[in-house]
Amino acid sequence: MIRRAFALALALSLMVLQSALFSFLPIESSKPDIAVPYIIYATFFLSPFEGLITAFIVGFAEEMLSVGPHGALIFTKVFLFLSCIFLRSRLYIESQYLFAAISSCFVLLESALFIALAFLGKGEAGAVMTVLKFSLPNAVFTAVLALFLFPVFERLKLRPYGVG
Amino acid sequence: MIILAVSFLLFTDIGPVAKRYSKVKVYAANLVGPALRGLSAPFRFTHDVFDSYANLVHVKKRNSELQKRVETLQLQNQKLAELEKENERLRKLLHFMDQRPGTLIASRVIGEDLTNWFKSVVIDKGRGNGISEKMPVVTPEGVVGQAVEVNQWHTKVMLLIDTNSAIDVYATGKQARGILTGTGRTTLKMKYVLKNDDLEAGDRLITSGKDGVYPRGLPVGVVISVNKNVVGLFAEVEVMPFNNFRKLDEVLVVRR
Repeated sequence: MIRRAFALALALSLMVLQSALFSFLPIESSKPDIAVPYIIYATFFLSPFEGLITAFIVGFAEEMLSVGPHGALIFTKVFLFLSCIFLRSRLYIESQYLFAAISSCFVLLESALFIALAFLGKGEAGAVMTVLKFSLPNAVFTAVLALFLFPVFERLKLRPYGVG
Repeated sequence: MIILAVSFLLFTDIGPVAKRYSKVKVYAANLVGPALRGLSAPFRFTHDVFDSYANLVHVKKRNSELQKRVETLQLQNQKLAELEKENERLRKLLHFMDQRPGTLIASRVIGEDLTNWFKSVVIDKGRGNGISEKMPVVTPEGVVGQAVEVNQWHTKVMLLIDTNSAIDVYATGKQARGILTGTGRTTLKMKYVLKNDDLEAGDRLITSGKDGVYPRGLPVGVVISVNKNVVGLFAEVEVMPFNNFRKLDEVLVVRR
C-alpha cells in the first residue's frame, strides 16, 4: 500500500516538475503524458479498481495544471482506463518495450478521442489542429518516458506475486 | 718541504714560477674539462628532469587554477548579462506600474500548461494577493491573457494564443475592429474584419475595452497579413502578438 502511494506521489511530483520545467525550457512541441503509463500499469498489473483510482487521480491532477475544458482530461483518462480493461485479458505485456509501445498508442488514442469530442461538443473545434500537430511527438516522448518508468515500477515491486 | 717551498713561492707571486704554474693549470684544465662535463651530464640531466617536472607540476597546477578562474569569470560574465537583462525587464515593469499606481499586481511565472493542447501559465500570486477570475494579465509589451482559475496562492492564466481565447480589438488610428482569437500557434487570427475596412499589414492592435475583460488601450499585437481574396464578407487577418509567450518571466495582473 505504501509503495503504491509512493508511486502515485511520484506521478504527481513528475507532473508538477514537468509544469515547472517547461516554463523555463522554450519547448512546446513535445510533452510526455505522464498519466498514461501509470494508468496502463495500474490496470494491467494491479487491479481494475486501482486502475480506475489512478485514472481519476492523475486525470484530475492534469486538469489542475491545464486550462482544458473542465472534465475533458478526466474523461479521456477514464476512457483510457476502460480501453485497458478491454485489452487486459487480450494483451500480455512482457517487456518494457511493449509497455512503451502501448503507452505511445494510448496517447494517439487519447488525441483521437479528444478530436472526436471537439467535433461532437462544438466550440472546442479550434483545438483540433493543435491536438493533431502534437499527437505524434507526444506519443514518442511518452514512449521514452514509459521505458524509464516500467523498471521503476518493477523495482518498487508494486504488483502482487504472479500477477501480469 | 719541497711542496711548502713551492707554495710559498706561488703565494709570494714570484713571476717565472707563477707563469709556469698557470700554464700547467691550463693544460690540466684542458684535460679535466671534458671529463667533468662528461661526468656532470647525467647529474645535470637528472636535475633538469626534476626541475622540469617540478616546473611542469607547478605550471599544470597554475594552469588548472587559471582555467578555473577563467571558467568562474565566464560564469560571472554570463550571470551579469542575465542580470542586466532582468534589470532592464524589471525597470520596464516598474515604469509600467508607476504609470498605473495601485492597479497592477506583479507576479512571476512558475509553471506551464501540462499539455501542449492548451496554452496557459501558472503565476505565483493568487486570491490572497487580490487576484480574481477574468482579471487581465499584461506585460509592458502587451496583453498576455486573463486569469481563469484563481486559488489562494497561485493563478492559472489562459494565454492569448489559446484556442479558447478571444479579445475585442481595434487598429490604432483606424476604424477596423474585430475579435482576436488564439490559434494554438505563435500567431493569432483577427475575425470579423470587413473586407472594406482599411486594415493593412503593420497596423498595431489595441484592446477596445468592450469585451468586459480587458480595459481599453492595452497593446496586443501587430497585423502581419490581410487576405481579402476569400469567400464571404470578412477578410483573413493574421496577427503577431507583442509578447513572446515562450519567454514569459514576470507578468502584471490588472486589478479591476
